[in-house]
Amino acid sequence: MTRSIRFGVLAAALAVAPLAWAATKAKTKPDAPVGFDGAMRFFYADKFEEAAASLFRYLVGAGDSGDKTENARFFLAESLAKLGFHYAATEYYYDIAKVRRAPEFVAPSLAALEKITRERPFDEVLIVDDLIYDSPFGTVSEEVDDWLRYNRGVENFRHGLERWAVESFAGIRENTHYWYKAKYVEAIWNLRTGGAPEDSIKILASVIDAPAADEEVKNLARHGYARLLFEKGDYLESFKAYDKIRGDVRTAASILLEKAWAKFYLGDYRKAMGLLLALDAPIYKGFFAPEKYVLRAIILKTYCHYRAAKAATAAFRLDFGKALKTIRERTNLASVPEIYDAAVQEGELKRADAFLQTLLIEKGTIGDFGAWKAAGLSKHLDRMYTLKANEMKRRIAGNLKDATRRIAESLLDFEEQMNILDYEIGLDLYKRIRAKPSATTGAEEVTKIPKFSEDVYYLFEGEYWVDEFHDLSFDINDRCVE
Amino acid sequence: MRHAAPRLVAAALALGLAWGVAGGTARAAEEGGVAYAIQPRTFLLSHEFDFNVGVLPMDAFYKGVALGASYTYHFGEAVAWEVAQFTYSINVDTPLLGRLRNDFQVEPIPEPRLRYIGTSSLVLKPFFGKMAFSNRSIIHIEMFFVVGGGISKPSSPAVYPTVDIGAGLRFFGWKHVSFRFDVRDYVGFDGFHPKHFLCISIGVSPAFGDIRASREAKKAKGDEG
Repeated sequence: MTRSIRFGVLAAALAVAPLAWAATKAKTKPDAPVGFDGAMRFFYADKFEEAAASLFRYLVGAGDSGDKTENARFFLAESLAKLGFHYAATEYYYDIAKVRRAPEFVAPSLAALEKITRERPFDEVLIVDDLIYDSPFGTVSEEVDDWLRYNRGVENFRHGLERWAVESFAGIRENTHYWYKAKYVEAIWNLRTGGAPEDSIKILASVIDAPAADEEVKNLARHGYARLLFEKGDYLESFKAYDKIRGDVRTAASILLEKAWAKFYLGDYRKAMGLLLALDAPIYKGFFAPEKYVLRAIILKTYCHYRAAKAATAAFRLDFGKALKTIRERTNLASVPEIYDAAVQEGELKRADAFLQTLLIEKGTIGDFGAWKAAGLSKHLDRMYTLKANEMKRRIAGNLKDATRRIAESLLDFEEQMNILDYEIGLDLYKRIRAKPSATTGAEEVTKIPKFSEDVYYLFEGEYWVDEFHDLSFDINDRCVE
Repeated sequence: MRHAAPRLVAAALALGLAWGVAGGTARAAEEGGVAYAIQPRTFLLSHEFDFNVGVLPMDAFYKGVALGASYTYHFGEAVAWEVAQFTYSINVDTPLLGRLRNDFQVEPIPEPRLRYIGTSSLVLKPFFGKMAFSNRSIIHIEMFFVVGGGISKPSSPAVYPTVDIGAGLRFFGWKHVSFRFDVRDYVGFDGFHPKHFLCISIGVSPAFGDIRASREAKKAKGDEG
């Protein structure tokens, strides 16, 4: 919990302290109206379901003019957040911070919003555009100020207001989470404005090497750093940088795919094939990666494994056949799951889709809280979530057109490549015997698997273990000389 | 029953190896190659101490509560030498003797009871793997086989030359601590008469040193030379 949340909750707690002592004796029925004091008794007894119902009932009764309206809003938000309804909590925190009827609740609400935005998908338009970018807040804690400055800086960059963006970033305290995130944004901005990639690489390297930077920011920087080195053609260093990414993000499909490309360019086809195999894991179902079929077919063809290479091209047609048919029929591209999933795989659409999924999950649990029905909170939340979900669907649909067209074009490109590969595989079948092995590196050597070694060789039998994704390697023998 | 355990272990091992070899040969010919997850062994320690507690359950007239300790030097991934192993048995009478005396007026001829055993053994560690624990975490395990010799001291004045054979499972907890489950058959020879002392024990094994690091150091030294 950040400092400002603590201060806010402490202040609020002092305001209702006389009520808290009776918390453990609270025997009031959750259905009965208990007023604000009764609601606080529930809250301090950690009965958040009953607290939320009572606070909502109080808010409905008292309206905007109640003595404790802002207190009730804040503690309703707190109760909802504790129960996992982060979007609903966000709406109440937003209202408190935006309208500022009770200044003592503004700072803790902002701190709570900062925590939500850091940990989970959120409504960027509501929080960043409407609240942060558009509202002055007066005195807030240093942590919240860093968060506000970072978001204002990013928004200014997005609007092309570089000087204001730099000014916003300049106020962030050094060596903090948002200071390092701002460095990352600066590196990206440098590239956007045509700056030298080396400058961005330097900025990202400084974040990676900073002892004070947390792992989340470091991973972000490592990913950017690895991508820039890849673009420079330094595949070895790029792969090493990818390999240093840690935590849950390490298993992200995009990282595996990019590592496979790096290994492919380094000529280590076995490792590349292993990483591509990891992408077939059920966890990555829906990840748009037609490159994996192309890469796989090229590598298998290189080693004269023609049947397997053909199988790779056939798998592409099987997985994307429906999508390709839709593209040719010129019907609604977004109606095809493969194309929709691919379109929401990156950037703003990815974040919006993640927020939509979160909304739907949270909405699905409203019915679990029986005490809310009589108070009318279930109905209220259901309406709130439905409206927001519909808004998000409209927002996504509005931005989907360009993305789906891009995906469609890339799919057609890949299909073309597959056709060429199919043709080449067919040709190679008739000139199979060559003077020497075909592979370009030491990869054609037969893997020597020692009986015992410092490395353990787990034969892959179709069972995917997340801890093995980055360690999979293919044992392909060169059949071109058989 | 006493003799079943070693035979079962040997049969299981033979079956397992045969199955593994057959599977590997079949897969080697697959189109497109075969895939391996190649991961560095997380646990490669050289000096292991073990402190265990167990039971000698086989004698109907008494049960032994075994307290043991050992030191093992690991040469590498597959072979180790259990330099010294000592087990002391605190023997507890079962009600059987009293019932024979009181209910049936029978005085059985007492068999010598085990007091302690000291052995030195070769340890073979062909199996290493991992298990998913409640779909939450991964536990690394090792299965090992032990064969060796030493002495066992029964309650009689004699000292038996002893052969020691057994198997065990090791669960790796932290880098320097593992937990062991051992089943051993100590066969003491009273002349030509074998006396079996089956011991089942669990233990905790702190370990030190790093085989990988010492190999690298040796290699570096060799390169310098």
